[in-house]
Amino acid sequence: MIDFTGSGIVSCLGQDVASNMRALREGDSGVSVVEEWVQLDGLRSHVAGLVGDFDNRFIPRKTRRTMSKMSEMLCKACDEAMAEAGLSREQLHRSRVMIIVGSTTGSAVSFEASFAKYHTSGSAEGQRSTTMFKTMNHSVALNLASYLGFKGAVLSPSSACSTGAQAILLGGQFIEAGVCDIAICGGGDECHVSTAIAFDTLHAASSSRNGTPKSASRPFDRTRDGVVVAEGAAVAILESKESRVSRGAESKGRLLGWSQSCDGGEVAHSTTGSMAGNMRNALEMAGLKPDDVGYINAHATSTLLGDQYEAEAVFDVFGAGTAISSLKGHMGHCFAPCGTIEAIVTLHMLKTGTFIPTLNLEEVAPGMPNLDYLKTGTVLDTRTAMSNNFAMGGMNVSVILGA
Amino acid sequence: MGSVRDEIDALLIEEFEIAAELLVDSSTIRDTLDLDSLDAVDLSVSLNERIDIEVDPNSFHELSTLGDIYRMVEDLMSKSNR
Repeated sequence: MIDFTGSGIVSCLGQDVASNMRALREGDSGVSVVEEWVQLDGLRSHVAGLVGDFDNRFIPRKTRRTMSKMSEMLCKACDEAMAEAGLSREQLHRSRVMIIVGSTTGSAVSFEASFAKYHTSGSAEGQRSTTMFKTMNHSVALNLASYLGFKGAVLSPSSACSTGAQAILLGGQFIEAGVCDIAICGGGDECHVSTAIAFDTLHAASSSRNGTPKSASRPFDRTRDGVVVAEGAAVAILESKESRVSRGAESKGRLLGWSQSCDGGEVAHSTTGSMAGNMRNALEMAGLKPDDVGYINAHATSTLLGDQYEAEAVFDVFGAGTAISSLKGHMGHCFAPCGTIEAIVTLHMLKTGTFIPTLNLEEVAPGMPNLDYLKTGTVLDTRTAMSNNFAMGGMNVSVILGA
Repeated sequence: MGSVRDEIDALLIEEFEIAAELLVDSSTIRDTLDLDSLDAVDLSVSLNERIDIEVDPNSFHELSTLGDIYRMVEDLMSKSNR
């Protein structure tokens, strides 16, 4: 058995789990207008979920100098998760621990600063020594390990929007295989205009509610018009039951099953068939039937096609009336950490029995299959939920969580 | 521009977060100021940006105190007739 023993979240809604849960329960949105984007010619989407007032001074300068914001946020989330799990840095050396954290890319902010320098000067001189450590694909992983003084195995999965869920899945697999007893899993991404440009180019970034940013992200809604890009970081600590019990740590929930697969065809979005297949594989792995799962935490990023295909896949696997909601209405889409955040929040919902609705979902879009799209906080009699993430590239990850 | 020493001090405080009370000639570069080879590269870049002086990052490895840095930069400024 694999337990969750600690969690930490930094998002546009708050910089710890409690403030995120409070904002989610109260129906707050962390989305705002980015003034610099308003000035950028050709960019239609001007809204994002940014982490404001982030104080990085808890990280010593020499450790921090190789970090961009994504690593700094991840360190903060990890501190919170380790505190909840009752794990000290010293214990990380005594136990069999892995760090499994990733991001969508290295720091685009740092790439931009480096490129701007040589494009402007026409010279290779004047580059900062630390750029490489911020821009490497495993930047968040190496920096978290450096921050913790961690000497064990470090992995850095990268599957865009599925990264945070994939980290949890990998943690589960490594614990189950006996490779480690504790897995520090998660992800971090910082917001850069290039991400907004990328989605805007695909006509998949929200642009019709720049004047009312808090209503811009609206998964499953009739008037949804695309992703609201965001940033954040999250860590979930997974632990074998034996390890948890030996430490006297409390279980915050269980990881019951998982599945990952690639669409292997469509790269802009997964097809309904591959998403449904992935969910069925996760159920089979957990030894569960569809009726055993009482709530689906959807990836649903507020895009026209993605939300539709995902809802059809859920309907195909779980049938009519299945309870479903997405957290993207509150916090936009923060990419790498979203799967970790959604697993953590789903565990909280399972624990309390009250499930958070999709913010800004006023009218379910015509043509959506017959599911129970939560519009208000809803009490559900279930101890089991599935959290899904379906990333660009057709990267499907489903995890099944138990209270 | 202030004195070379003032510029170096400001740089060390603002970019390297070194406490002002440590900025005395006798402070050792590695042990007291806690600067290493990566910092030497960035110190060189920042000196170039702030006071337009070319400093080879490797030259810091031959120095031991902040006073040595002051004197090296002052010498370079003097040689460039500034």
